[in-house]
Amino acid sequence: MSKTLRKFFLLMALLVWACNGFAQNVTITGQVTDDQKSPIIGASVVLLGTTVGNATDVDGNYQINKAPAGKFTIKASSLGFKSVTKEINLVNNQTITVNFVLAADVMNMEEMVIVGYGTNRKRNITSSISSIKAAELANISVPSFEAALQGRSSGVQVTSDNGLAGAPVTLRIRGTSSLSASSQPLYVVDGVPMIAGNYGASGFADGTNSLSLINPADIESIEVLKDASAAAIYGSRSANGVVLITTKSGVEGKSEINVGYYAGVTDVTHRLDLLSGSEYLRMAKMAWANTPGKDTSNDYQAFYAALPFGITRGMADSTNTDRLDEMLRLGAVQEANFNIRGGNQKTTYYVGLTYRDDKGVIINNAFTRASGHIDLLHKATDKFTVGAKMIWTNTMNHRVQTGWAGGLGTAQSRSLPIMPVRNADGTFFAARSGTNPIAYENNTEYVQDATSIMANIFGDYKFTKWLKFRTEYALTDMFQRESRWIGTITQETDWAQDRRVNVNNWYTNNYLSFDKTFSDVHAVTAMIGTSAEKSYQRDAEFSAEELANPTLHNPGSGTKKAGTAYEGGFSFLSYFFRTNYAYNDKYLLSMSIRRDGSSRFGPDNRFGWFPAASVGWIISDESFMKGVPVSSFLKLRGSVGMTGNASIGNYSYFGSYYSTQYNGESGIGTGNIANPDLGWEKVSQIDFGLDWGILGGRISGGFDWYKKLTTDMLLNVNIPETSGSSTVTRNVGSMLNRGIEFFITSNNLTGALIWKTELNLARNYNEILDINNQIIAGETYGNNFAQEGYPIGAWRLVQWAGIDPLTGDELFINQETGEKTNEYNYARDAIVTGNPYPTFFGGMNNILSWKNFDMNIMFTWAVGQDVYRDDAKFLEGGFDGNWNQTTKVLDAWTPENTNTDVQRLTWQPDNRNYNTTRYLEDASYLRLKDLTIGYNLPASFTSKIKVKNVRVYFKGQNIWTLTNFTGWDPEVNRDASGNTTQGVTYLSPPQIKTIMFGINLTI
Amino acid sequence: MKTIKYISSVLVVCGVLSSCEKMLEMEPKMDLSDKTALTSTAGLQSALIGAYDRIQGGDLYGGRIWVAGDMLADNVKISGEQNTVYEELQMINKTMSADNRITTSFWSNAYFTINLVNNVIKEIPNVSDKDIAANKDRLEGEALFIRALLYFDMVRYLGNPVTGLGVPYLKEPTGITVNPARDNIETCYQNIIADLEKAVTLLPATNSDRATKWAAYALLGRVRFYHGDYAESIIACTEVIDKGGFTLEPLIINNYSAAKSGEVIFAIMSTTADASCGTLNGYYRYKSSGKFSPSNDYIQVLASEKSSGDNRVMQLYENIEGKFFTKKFDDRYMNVPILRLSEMYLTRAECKVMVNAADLTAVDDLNVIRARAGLTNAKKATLSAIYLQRIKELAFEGDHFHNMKRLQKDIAGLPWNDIKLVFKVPQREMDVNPNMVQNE
Repeated sequence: MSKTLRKFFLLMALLVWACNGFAQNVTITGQVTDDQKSPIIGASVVLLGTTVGNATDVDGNYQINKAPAGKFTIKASSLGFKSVTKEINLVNNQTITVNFVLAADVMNMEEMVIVGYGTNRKRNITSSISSIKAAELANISVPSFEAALQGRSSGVQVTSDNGLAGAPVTLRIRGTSSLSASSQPLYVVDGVPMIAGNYGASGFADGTNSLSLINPADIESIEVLKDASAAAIYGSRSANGVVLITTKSGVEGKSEINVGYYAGVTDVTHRLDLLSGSEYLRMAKMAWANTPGKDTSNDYQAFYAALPFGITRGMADSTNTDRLDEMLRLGAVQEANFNIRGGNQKTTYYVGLTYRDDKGVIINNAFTRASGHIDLLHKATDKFTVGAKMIWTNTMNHRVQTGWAGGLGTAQSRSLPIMPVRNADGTFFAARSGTNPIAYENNTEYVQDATSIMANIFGDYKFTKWLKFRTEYALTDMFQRESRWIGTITQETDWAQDRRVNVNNWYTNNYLSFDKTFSDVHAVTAMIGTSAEKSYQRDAEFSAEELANPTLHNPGSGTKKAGTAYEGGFSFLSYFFRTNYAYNDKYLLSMSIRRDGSSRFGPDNRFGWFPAASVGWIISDESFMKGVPVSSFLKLRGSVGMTGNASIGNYSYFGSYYSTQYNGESGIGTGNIANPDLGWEKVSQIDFGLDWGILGGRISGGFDWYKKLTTDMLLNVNIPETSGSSTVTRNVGSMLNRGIEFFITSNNLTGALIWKTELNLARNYNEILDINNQIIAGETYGNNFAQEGYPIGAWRLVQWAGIDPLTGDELFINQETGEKTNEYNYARDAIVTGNPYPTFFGGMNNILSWKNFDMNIMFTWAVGQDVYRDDAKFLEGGFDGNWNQTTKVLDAWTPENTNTDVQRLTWQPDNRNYNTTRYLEDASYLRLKDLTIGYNLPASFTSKIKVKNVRVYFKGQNIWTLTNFTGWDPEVNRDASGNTTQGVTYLSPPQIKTIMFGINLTI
Repeated sequence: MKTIKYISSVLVVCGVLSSCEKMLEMEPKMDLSDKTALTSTAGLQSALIGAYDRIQGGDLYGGRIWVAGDMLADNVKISGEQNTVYEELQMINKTMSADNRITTSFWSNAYFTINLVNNVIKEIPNVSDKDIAANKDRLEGEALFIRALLYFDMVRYLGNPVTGLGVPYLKEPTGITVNPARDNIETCYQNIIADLEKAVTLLPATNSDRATKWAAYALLGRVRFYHGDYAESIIACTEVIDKGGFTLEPLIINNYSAAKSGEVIFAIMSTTADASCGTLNGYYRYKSSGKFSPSNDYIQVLASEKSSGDNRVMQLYENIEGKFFTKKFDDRYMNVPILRLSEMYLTRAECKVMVNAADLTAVDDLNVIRARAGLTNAKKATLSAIYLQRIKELAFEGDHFHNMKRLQKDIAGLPWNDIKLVFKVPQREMDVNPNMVQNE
């Protein structure tokens, strides 16, 4: 390590040479304006090849004193404008005036983009990075910030699992690159890896997401590092890409206060059509009559007798409960935020406070978030800068059961429309049967109360203009308390639980950055550093039954007490180096290498190297391109590198005996099988890209082609269970992802009416190459599999071939003969089919403004992905006597209605709730993700009330969706954490649409 | 020269961190290392407790190992109080697949437990601390008992009556690369008997709430009985009845509670923090929305002597709006009885008749059971009279299905040796072990 460092600095030292001295007594003055003749404040004017230069003042004027005599190039530049250079001849003791008119740079090529451990000019970036700014994320109402990335970044597939507040989000950057380890990217907030995941108690079907602890209003920008060259600086944790979040910070200038508020209503995007009471009875009786051995005499006496929970004939005939009406409501969301930022040349600050209150669409579901944010930067001396960032957040999530666990899941399945909610005496009907979700909601409490503090203190020391050192010390602490209670309405004994989860991370970064241009043409930047991190999680849970009193919901008052505890953690120690070289700002080279060690890797394999390199060529700067009239920018780039995936479990290498207890004695059992060689998964990636702009940048875009190969993929290799274990974890598999990404930005109209369109599209192809010939089931009921030669999560299902018009039986394809049969034989007839991932996906954003009005119209889409409706086999597959059915079954086969795709209905046990391709649906969709109409109050008015700006707006989210999917909503995911279980729904809660009004004030 | 200063300052930072490489050595605080877990008497004892903990689970003696037989034998019907899941329907419909979760969990939990006790047996000679001498016989005896208990249920559920194949009988840990083949049913029985005959010599007469000499004798009596070794079974049962010091509870319901029963020879124990009976409770208890009621045919048999004063009917069954539920498992925190004294009497009675139909003492054993149930004494111990009491006494306790097979009687309308009544070998085991043969 230190050897590498020494070599590097020896090289650097060789490149340094002293500047020559000149007579220095020329004065240059002038003004820098834009093409509308407005002054540009803070533009920088420098005399190339010298150390003299200055910035423009509030009138756009500048003055450079003591410039040397001679022939020079003078350059004016400002962020958001194209730089202009002029050749000048300076004569001793003269004052010369040089004015500049800078054209707006619509491509923003000079913009600084955050990269790992530093920044780089957008123009010179040779890797694949998407950058999303605060303006694009402002005022979007999302369960957590990463959901707002949907449709805004090419190649980043975002799926909100459902519409519940604080719900998990599945994010895939360039596909799924792991089978057993996580495929979610690394989230880094202001340089510090974020605690991400579901820390909620299990058993609620849909989990929670600790990323909802980040307040979207605190975010200044999000950079998505997609290719190896961009991500590999994060080494063994970068294989799934890296999402860099930069929070807001102070700015020099007068204090500016921003106040914002919005409020709106939410509703489900689409409602499942279930049978009403009378429809249920009619179809259920038909199914009963169709089932051999079922007696229909005495007007279906036996049928009524078979109804569960003592439902009587009178009750069944007269009841029509709309369960979804009972469980759903119009939600309400409101958010208020306040921030103030400002500062002087020495000190800048930002203080923000946000409160969000989200009353969900499912009764009892609510989410609040309060978040405070302080950022402070102080230039102690010219050389030494210190700063601190602190964000605290508290979320309160009133959780409700969903899916298989109950609540809305029960309301759409086992709650029959012929069951009343309450008995005549006001008590809940069948309260303890697990089929009355209203009874449950009235008899349960679950509050997840999470507090996180992220604090980061850093210092920058500028040794010279070209060499600086930065050190950062960060602490992140997440503390989550969960209080649960279930009373005696739905179960015999009441029960309460108190669960605590604490995740504590400390982190330090220390790096030296070098930035110097030699002979005007050799621009070299370099960075070398080291980081260390330790993360530790402690859980404790305590529960009790038989509480002292129905009003006491703390387990401390209970009798039968039980508790569990857990602790575990991981650590990383890393060294990294990166250098960028640009020749003449035209030929670009970037190289990086990281060495990562982790406690997660086996003792025989503790450290790994992660190198990457990329090159770029700005073709548009070549003289032969000057003649090409429309072309204004063209950059070709390519990268290659190796990234790693260390999300392999904390102690997977460790041979262990787990601890347990029996009858008050402590015991142990065979746990994990040791593998001292266990290591990270390796992902090697190659990327070719093109960035271009034409017509002075009015239309610009980019294109990327990539190929990612995962090797040494972590695999739980099945072994005979006679050995005492099911699997052993090894680095053996391989998987391929390849794809293309495309984006285009067009300034369609630039006059009084401004219209800008941003479009991005991507496709990714996934194939499992080697998993030891195993066929690995994702989850037994979903029928997702991992199988060589197929995309991960493809299904193995029997092919459905419609309904036999003669008998009404479901028909399947016999794969041996190719003929249709009514016999269901999974072992013989299951085929691999479907793909949970889209063929292509993307988004299109239209931004319009006219006078004081602005408008935003954003569509997102995903095309070609399948969703398996795992619940449909019970909701549409015929009566098992326990589940309601969708209105599709009204079209069931009868001797009169033979041309249908719904089978002849039958009753348990003759119902055939089989997994077939019938329930595998194309979930392609096009969605109006966002429609915003805003109005800025005229300055003549705002100046009277002494505010700088007032904007009012209307916003609609998810208000229109086009899809053929017949479930609740095509954007659904039963299990965000699994790689093989994507694209399955099982009574999952729906997505929501939001309509809201808001106001922003700047004072 | 400044540069040198900067570099050295950075090197110091890097150097400090390099020395921190120790921070990468983090071992779990929840789990023991496999290198040290079994190197002491205390460690072996813990492993044994771990084995009891495993068989306590809902997939083994905490529940499904019993319920499976009753589903297959049509002793239960769906109550409608709670949803029945796929794998249960497969058993009720006799369409068990090779990935049926009840059968695959049974297989994996049984073999995981067997591996654990095999490790204990293997490591006993390698431990030399001060406690080992006083404990090694007991440790080995308990390990052998648990192994025999599991293999006996495995060979009964998985043994293929047509091919005669049982299950791989592993007497030591195999490691992860061995692909064992199935042993014959007969080999399995010989091994089970050998294990138990050794266990009775090693185990103490009292042993907390864990396996004792009497538990081993009782299990041996059961295994010998099922194997048709009636004379040997009588010897084992008599050991328990005469020397074990167990007495029948005045009321049969006393056996199903958190309190200890004088009749229970071996039970899966509960504590307030660790209920053993949650699974059975969820299957059978009305107030827990029990999934299953006794089937109509079965309740006819169980309640057949109600008018003759059979007090078990009122103690053990309730009629809720026309549906019957068993009350045996009403307490989630009860100790689940695996071996009871009443079974010893019934087994011995039947064995006596089988050995010598004129054995006049057989009826005494039968009448012990009848008397406790409030029934009048029988005059003669006919096989059918003994069968009937056996059904009533051991209903829902994992006996009836196997007993029907033993007697080669039709089960749920199928011949006793129908392959539909035999568990499949889990498909994942078939996939990874080329030596494994499926039941088909």
